[in-house]
Amino acid sequence: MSILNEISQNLQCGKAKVVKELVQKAIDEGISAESILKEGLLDGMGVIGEKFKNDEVYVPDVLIAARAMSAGSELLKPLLASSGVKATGKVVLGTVAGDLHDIGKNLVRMMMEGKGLEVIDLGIDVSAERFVETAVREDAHAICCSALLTTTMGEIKNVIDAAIQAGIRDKVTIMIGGAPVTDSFCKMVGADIYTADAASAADAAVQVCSR
Amino acid sequence: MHLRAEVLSPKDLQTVHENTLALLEKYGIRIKHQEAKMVFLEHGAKVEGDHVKMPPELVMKALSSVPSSFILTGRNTERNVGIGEGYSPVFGPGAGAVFISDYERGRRPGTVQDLRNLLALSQSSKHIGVACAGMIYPFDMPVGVGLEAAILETLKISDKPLFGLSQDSAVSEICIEMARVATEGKGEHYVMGVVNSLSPMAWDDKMLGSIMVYAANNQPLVLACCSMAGFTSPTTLSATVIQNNAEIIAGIVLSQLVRPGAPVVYGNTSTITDMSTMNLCIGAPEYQLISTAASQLAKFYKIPYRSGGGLTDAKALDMQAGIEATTNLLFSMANGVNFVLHALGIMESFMSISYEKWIMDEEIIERIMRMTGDGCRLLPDAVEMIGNAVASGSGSFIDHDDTLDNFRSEFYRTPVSNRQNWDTWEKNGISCQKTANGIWQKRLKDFVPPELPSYVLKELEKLVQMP
Ligand code: B12
Repeated sequence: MSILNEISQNLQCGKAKVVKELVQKAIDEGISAESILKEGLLDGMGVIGEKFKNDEVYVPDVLIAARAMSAGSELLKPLLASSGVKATGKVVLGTVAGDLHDIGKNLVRMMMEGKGLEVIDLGIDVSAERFVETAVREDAHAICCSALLTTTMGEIKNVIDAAIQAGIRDKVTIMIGGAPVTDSFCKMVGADIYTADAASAADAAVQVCSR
Repeated sequence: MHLRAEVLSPKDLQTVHENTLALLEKYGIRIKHQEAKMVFLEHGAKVEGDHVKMPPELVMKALSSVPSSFILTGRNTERNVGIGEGYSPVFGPGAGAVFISDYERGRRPGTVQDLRNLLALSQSSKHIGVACAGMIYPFDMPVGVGLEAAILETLKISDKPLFGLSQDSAVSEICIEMARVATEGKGEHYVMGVVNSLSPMAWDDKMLGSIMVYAANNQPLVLACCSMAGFTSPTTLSATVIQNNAEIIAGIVLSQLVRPGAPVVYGNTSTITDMSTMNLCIGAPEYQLISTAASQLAKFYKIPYRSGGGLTDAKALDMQAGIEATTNLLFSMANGVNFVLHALGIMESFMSISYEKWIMDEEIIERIMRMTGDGCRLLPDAVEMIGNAVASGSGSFIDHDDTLDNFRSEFYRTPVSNRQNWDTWEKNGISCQKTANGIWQKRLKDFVPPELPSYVLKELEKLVQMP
């Protein structure tokens, strides 16, 4: 078994420590960071993702695989940066002001990280200004808002307005979700993307970031 | 027929209780709210950063001041309900729904008209004990006064005791004030709210604010948790029960420190998490394991208990909806619940209310009441009655006094479930949905709202207009 395959296999079992050791070993053997990332780590996450879609593994399995993934990619980050390979993308995520529901949001983060995205998670009760300030500072591709209450869904509009005010509306994609949010609400409020679950949110974010 | 559901043995109960005290003493509960922290501190709790750790004596003393029952007063005092020891369970409707659905129009966002319709169904339901302002959140409520306007609608259309709003301290204040005005001093407790802990082991600022406001005003509050085992509480159900118990008790202790004797209800709608969607599964059998344990704990502390009613994760009025709503209502009624929220209409893991399911849930409750009610009454003269009837020659009981006198009370007649034969059923194009649809439409047509004195209305309208 090649070392990259070994990384992928161990990642699928969620063995963070082993993955980290193997990544280091691969680096020492002179394998390029990009190959380790793509043929090792992301390959493993791809398999897990596919199994998840087919109901063969469940969220906890995906989560520990994602942990193993980030343990490995920590080591690769500096190498990737110096060789000019950019991270897949960067998004700002949070639950809107007045709302403390974060289970769905956390799941979205997990799925996005599993796809190799850098997620800046602002937590709960996040004001429109904080979403936008962070997106500006971090030069993020997307702002992702989660809202679970009818009374806080309106906050999404404030985030969009703040993005317009800050002059970044045409540069940043606004993704929204949460149980009461619908596609028609997304259109009405002027956001860009709505998806119904965390896996499709991650897929959509990857697309956005690769544009 | 007596149904009595229990999952914890007396020894288990004692262990859960001791573990709870240890959890609260050693690890404490996470609280940021400064005022709440001060209250705990003043009464001998240890406050370390955002962790409030409470000694068992403090907890036990606070728990002992909780009333085991209380009366909730309505605008019309004939509608008053007693909640807790010695009273039969009080049912509240589905609440907090985002969407509404009915047979003709399908699923859609709820409107003010839907709220009005549900309030009329609730007022005219013989099973519903309270008027719930937050059944749905109408999308077309005027902005800024949405919540107050919903409370006003509730007070206009129903004279049952108010199950009010309690999203934060400001909403709680206004809701209590409106209920006070509406009930005109007819009783001590005139509005009940509900708050939820923030599992694992925390209470959010907003909820703490509501606890303090409801307690300070001596108004009853349901302190519940809705943890998701496997995500916000342990997968092992017994450990979830311990964590939940600690969270609820921490909230109850605060209420009693603010005002000893303030009425509270111990609530629980925690259940398992679906491991592929991470959705909350309120129709899962595990919900009743957790809820029954919680009910036993509430009884152990002599505090009224609240659980869920016709809970289901079903998206359509299908067999899943029927199975889940029935088992949940059955076990809630068997575990000695005192107050049931979401008794009628609720669907898809709390996301929507269905008009037809509302009517079907009423039938489920009636069926359970029939089974758990008077049971099989004995006759003093059964031998003679049977003997004479058989000897009389007709060979049938259809025209016998026993039938004529008793069939109406002895046989429960299902309003929705169909008992015709195939051909008639097919010819009439009957379905449960259609039958239920006809029932609620007729109820709305016949509905006459209760009177609300114009001076009370005026005063309430002033409160709604407040900036
Ligand atoms: C669990 C829960 C809670 C927990 C929250 C715990 C936590 N840490 O988040 C607790 C008990 C604390 C809670 C509190 C309250 N809750 Co609550 N809660 C729920 C419940 C039952 C499940 C939510 C959930 O986590 N689902 C599981 C996750 C995985 O699903 P999800 O969040 O929808 O996320 C998925 C998708 O939507 C999507 N997604 C999510 N975010 C994003 C973001 C983006 C960018 C994208 C693309 C996709 C996406 O991906 C996720 C995964 O697939 C819902 C009902 C429901 N079925 O949704 C009520 C519900 C949302 N709550 C409700 C209410 C009323 C409250 C309270 C006011 C109750 C109270 N009086 O105490 C408080 C609110 C406090 C506040 N200010 O926020 C109402 C809302 C009513 C309304 N019309 O607004 C609901 C509908 C229940 C009800 N009928 O009463 N709640």
